Amino acid sequence: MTQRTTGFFTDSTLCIGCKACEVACKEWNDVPADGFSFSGKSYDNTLALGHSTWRHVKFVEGEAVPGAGGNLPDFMTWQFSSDVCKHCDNAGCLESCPTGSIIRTEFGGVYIQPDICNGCGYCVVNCPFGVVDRRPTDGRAFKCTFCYDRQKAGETPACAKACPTQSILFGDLEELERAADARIATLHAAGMTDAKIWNPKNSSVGGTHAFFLIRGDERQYNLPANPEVPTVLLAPAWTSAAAAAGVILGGALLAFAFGAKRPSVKPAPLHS
Amino acid sequence: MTSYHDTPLLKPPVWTWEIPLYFFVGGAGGAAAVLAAAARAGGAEDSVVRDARWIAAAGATLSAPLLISDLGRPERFLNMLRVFKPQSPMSVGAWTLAAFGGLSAAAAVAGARPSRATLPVRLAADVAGLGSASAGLVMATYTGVLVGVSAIPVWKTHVRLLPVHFGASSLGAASSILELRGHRHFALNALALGAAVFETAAAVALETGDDRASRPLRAGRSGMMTRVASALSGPVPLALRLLGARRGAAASAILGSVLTRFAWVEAGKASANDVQAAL
Repeated sequence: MTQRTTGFFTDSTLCIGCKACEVACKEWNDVPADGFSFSGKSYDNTLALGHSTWRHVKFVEGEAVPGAGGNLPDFMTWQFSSDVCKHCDNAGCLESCPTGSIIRTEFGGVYIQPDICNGCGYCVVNCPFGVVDRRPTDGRAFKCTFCYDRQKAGETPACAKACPTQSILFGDLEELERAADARIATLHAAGMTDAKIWNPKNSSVGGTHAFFLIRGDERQYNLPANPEVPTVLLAPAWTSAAAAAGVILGGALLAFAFGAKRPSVKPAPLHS
Repeated sequence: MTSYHDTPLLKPPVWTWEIPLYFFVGGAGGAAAVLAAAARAGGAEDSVVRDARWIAAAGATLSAPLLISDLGRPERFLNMLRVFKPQSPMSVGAWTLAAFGGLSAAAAVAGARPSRATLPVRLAADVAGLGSASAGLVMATYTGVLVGVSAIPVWKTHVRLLPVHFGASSLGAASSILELRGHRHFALNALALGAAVFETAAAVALETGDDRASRPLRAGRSGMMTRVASALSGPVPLALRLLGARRGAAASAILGSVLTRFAWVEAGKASANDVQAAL
């Protein structure tokens, strides 16, 4: 039986920053606490996704817009956006994983099999979005599982289930993409012309299964405009390595061929 | 420039000292295997071939515990050989190291006493030596591929340079180790000289660039490490060799080769924290 390809559509214009998604994710997946720390940055002490933060609500602060939504002229605007593993079509973590622990599930998600991962750390430097990380107290790499266990049972992932405003929508990927286009049309018609979809389909990442409706510059959400999957670097890297290997081999053969005619000094024996 | 509260986008490499040390040990061991095969082919003294084979075997033997101890779950190290993935430089590296370990040890043991060895043993040593040299060529260069093929700005920017840079560093180190062992052979001096010339050129190229992604190579702790590593690998051994101070040049090149790997890993950590370079 072929399974449907599922996705997350996270609409930041509907997010109220309640962090219920973060809590639901932690509860369901038994993710440990990530410490009590004060960042001093907006209402966000977590700041980024990580080995023990698989959903993360960003508090993006913008210019004051008097009149919009009842804002006072001396208060900045807030945009909230619940971030998550992008579940890339061309996933750097999956390609780089040397053990085969990271797999593509039947739902199209990218999943780390915890019984296989040996904590080599290579996926950490191969994720262009800084999502996956090694948990020091455990030794293995962790990130959003796309609630693989819940999906297998026909359930909605915990974050989407808990979201009180339907900012996080879960469902068939193609249907979600159509819903996102319709939502953008509605928002643009209502005058919110800076609303746009972030889904890097035209990059080497080739589109993501978790995509976002954001406003304005994606970089203020720490979303790169032109992400790159590291596998595109394989060809130049190995070409370079082959050239280097050729020069090293050729040089060594030449040097010893020439050196055969010249006098050389042998070392003293180790034991005399 | 805009970012999310200036917080880093990327995660820094989790690797500790074992990994850059492995880059050196595995690379120098790999290059030593190539030197052994070339010395054998060129008719050099048995002692050069034998010592180079032992250095290769020692490099391979030290590499495994270094890599295993850096794993988050060391007891699962065999999972590295669970699949072969050509698209994962680390998978290619794990398999190459496995082959290199066996072949370099076989070449060293079979070739331990060439004067007393029977023909089949000499033949076995040479066949293993050729295999070890082939794997050694990968060992000397693939670590540059491993870090270059990543999302870390300073590494991926130099993805073409890194395999050559690490290869030259490995060759210089292997030649230098043999020289410090007491071998004064024309070929070792010539190869170490070539490596020092390349490393000098690479140092100039890295120092004169002005792109944002390469900033960790010129600023902060990693910049300092890069500059010291560059000096010890390039201009210092080059000058000492031209003055005839081969042992001093060799010691400098070996130190430089170790520090080069530490500097690049440190630069990677700094680079991951540069959100502007990543966005």
